[in-house]
Amino acid sequence: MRLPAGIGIAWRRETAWLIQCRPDLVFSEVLAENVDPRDPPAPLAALLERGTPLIPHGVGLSLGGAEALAPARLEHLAALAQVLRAPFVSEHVAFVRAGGLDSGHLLPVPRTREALRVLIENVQQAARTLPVPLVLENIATLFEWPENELSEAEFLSVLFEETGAGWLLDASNLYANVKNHGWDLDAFLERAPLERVAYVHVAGGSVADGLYHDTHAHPLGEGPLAVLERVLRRTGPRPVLLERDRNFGGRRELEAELSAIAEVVGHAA
Amino acid sequence: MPPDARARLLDRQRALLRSVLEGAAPPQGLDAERLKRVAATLHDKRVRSQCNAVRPVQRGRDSALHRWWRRVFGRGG
Repeated sequence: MRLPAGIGIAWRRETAWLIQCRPDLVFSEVLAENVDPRDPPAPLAALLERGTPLIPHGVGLSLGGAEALAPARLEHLAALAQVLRAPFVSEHVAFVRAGGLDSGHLLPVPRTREALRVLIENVQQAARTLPVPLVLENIATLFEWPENELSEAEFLSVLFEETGAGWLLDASNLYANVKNHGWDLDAFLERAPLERVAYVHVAGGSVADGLYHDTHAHPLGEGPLAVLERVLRRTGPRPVLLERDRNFGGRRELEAELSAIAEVVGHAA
Repeated sequence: MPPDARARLLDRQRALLRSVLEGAAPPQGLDAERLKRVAATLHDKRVRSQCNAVRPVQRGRDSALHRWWRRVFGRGG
């Protein structure tokens, strides 16, 4: 199933009221680790009744990790996908834990052919367990591995080609990597497998000590919005989701950001 | 996939985590100062995650959000 082009906002307890009041939002997304499939929050059932697609978005599978995937995490994602009648599940091109240590956050996989094989095997294993297709997100990174052999675009192209996974293109993560690592945005977009884009993320961030941080806690800035515009100029209209995890602001602020995103999606049509 | 590939990757990933979580020397080829920034960011996020885990209790049940939630959905929040 493909989502219709349009806008959405990530479901949080703080945004539930806004989503409930906006039936024009074409989809939403829940943080998978925060929802118990045996007892999902009541507003999610209301959204399902309304027909709003909900995407379980995982952050803890550690698909890029060297160790085997945790069966309990996979089962949780699978159960949530079924309860939410989700069209697909999304996760990250990242690792989270290794050797008994857990970062609690997403860290980059070395872009080597060897690490790519491990990632592909893990994604294929996850795909065999999940009842719906898997969509994978590019992450923002504060450092790059020195042994990188492939560009991000090359790495993602092979990953999506060999696994059949879709792409959750995070425009703000891409903006962060352009700012922090000097990536050439046009060169990236020229070579990236944009035909695999299932949906798009965008969020606000801030600069600290010369590095851009994709915080999901600041107003949506012009930089990520400009990257979104350049992505959609090439892909055409896509479903675009606003992420906000803290400092939610008032309804007016969130509505203004959604309107700005809707305008960009509209221009891509 | 040869087991060596996973073992080599595990070594690199474990070394990175030991550096940013436990203050060990950075893995070969990575900049110590940049990893300190990664460590600080991870620390912030872990603290926030812990706060989020108890947030519904800490914030109380009488906020405008919770009143709206109970009115619309009747439970939880």
